[in-house]
Amino acid sequence: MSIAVQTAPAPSTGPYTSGDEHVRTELSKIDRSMRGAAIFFLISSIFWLMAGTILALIAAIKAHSPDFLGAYEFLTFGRVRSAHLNAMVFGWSNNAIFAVALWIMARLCRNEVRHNGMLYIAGSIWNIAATIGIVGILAGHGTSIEWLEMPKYVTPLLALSYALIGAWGIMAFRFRKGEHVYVSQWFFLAALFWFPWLYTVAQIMIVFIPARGTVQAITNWWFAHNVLGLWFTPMALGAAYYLIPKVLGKPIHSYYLSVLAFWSLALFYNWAGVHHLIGGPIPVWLISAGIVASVMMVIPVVVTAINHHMTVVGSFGAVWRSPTLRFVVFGAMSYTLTSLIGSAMALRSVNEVTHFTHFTVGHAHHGVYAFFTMIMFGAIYFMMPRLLQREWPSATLIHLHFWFCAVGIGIMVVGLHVGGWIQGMMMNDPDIAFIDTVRATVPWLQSRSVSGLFLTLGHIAFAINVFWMLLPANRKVEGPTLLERRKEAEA
Amino acid sequence: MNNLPLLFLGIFFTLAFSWTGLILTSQIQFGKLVQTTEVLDEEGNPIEGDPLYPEQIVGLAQQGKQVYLDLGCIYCHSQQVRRPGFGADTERGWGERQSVPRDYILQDRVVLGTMRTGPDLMTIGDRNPSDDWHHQHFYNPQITSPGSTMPPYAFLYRVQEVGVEPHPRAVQIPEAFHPGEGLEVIPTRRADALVAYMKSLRMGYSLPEAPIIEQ
Amino acid sequence: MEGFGYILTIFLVGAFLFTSAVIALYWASKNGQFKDFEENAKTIFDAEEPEGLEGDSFPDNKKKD
Repeated sequence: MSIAVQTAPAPSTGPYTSGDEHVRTELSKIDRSMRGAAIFFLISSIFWLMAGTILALIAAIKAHSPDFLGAYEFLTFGRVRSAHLNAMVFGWSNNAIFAVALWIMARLCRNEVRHNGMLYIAGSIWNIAATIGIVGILAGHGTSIEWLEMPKYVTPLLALSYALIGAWGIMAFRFRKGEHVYVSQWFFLAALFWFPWLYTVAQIMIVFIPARGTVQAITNWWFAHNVLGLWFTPMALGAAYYLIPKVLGKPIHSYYLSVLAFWSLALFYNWAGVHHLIGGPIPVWLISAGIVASVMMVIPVVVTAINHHMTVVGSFGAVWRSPTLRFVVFGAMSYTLTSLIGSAMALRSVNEVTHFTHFTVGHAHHGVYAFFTMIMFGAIYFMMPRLLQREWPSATLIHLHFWFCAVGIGIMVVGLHVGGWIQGMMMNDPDIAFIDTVRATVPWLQSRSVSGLFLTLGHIAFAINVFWMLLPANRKVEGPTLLERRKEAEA
Repeated sequence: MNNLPLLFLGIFFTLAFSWTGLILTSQIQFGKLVQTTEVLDEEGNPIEGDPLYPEQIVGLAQQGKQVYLDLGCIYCHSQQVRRPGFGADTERGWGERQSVPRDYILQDRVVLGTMRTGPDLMTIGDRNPSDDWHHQHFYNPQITSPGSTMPPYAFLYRVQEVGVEPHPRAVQIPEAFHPGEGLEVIPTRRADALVAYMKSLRMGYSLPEAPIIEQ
Repeated sequence: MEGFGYILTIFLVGAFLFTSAVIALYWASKNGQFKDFEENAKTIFDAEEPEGLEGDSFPDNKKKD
């Protein structure tokens, strides 16, 4: 492969390095046009991240020490846990997606974005709706439908807001200047279509005109698993397919494979959700279909893994030097691992043990945090300096953020997988009293609380860095590394 | 590369197909199940005059289901019994047979659950029909199940001073967990509803497709 | 639960989105999106952030220079 090296591969350079003012303008203009909206979503997402973290800590502690804050009805485990999930899914994740994916979309469309007013309105509605929804859950209006806990009175608001955002994304795409549609755009565009489809169908069939009997459960898991597979995953993979080559300054290992990965993901993932109902009161053929699809997921996962990892191989120095790449590579590695574990978990013999245990909870965090969230963090580290034309104020805080989060999620995933496996093995032995399965999980649940402390510290470091960066006083004092380098080069 | 568009068309079709295949098909296959009798006559019809199953839960129990939903009980308790030989559901006494789609047709919200931090509740009404036990357990799970990680639901109870005579519905609370001398613990309506719901969760009947086999 | 109207609603939502997907796909192939993978992989680079240039680094690296 011939890579036209236009500049000597300097070990450390930032964005905006081109000395030529003229060529800098196109991308910078796009970034500038996107600045307000992206920062708006980003700030919202960070508030939600902090709120979700606090709710998570409360829930985690309650899981092994039930008397903790036990007197407050609105903080009972069943509600705090759902509030945590929704704050993270609808608050943090979706706002982060709106910030990152729409920004990358705008850049790939090579056109300055217009009608940002739409995004501000949509974002405001979204955040108001999410707030009402989560307060509603804590107040006892939750639906107890996993991943759809928000009371039904916020559904129209969320749908309206999403319609505006989706329409904006499609408009940005429609008025693009670039000839080619890059694979990330495929991922984003498809996800923008899939999400409303999933959400509408699930809301109608479970909440508004409930289907009969366990058809609800099938719809529920078709939705919940596809939110991961057809919303979070394509958004994070799309970002990774953009960020890895951009940071390394070399194209993806095999572009053909990336397109293949996209289509095989679209093909298999959407059938996989029923594996959450293995052994349950639904027809066996449905479960078999779910298991087959789950195992077939190995194809897109391995293809993506080969592609991501082959691109990075040989550039480990860059992974060390770049905050973005460090987070994204961590996320990409987690994607491979969590997906392969997920496929294994769908096998009946494995599922017999892991189903109904904390193993599944660990797996969910492995996917949503170690994969999705870490990639979003990486994307934010890449995005912010370009939007603000300013450097991150503290490298130490970035290091703290990374290590606290990496170690924290590591402890959580290992703890819950091991604890969950023990729980499952004990539960399948009828000679062991049920209460002993509960007692056996306590130390592992305590390890989750410890991991929660790590994650909290990491998130605090991240939030401080972001808000410090946004401080107006910071504007002149901390000249971006990138711009200073340019001046040095010119001098 | 000429066949690519065709291939991709197929892939997009499959996406819509997953919804059709998983949801629409199952809706058509068993979305119209109705109540039936425990056994069928020779022609495969319900026997006239026999009781129909599953039974509709009504009244207080129905309100209790709402409490179950708003407290998020589903996040630790499932309501499904897997077949003998897959897991240890029947050995643990959680049901004499596996639960089947028809068992759920009268529920306006199905709460199968995916977690067993606590035991399955599909047949809790058969297993433990005692009001006192449930009230003690909700007031503080440690009373009945030491070492449990279930949260206390004391906020579903009213603690009041004992009047001239003890309240007839006061919950018996052991010394160690008692709120104090001269006080008594009275279930609120929500507590009563939740207990009624627990007692309504029964699966002691056969269905034609899932008969209880006498040992 | 009135079976028909309900299936119809879902079907219409599904049909709409499915049609959109087919249109997108038809457009994509007609537009030549599935040709020349080698070159297209490089479309993310431009003069401002060119190929061969690392796009990100820790902010303190400049002090070590």
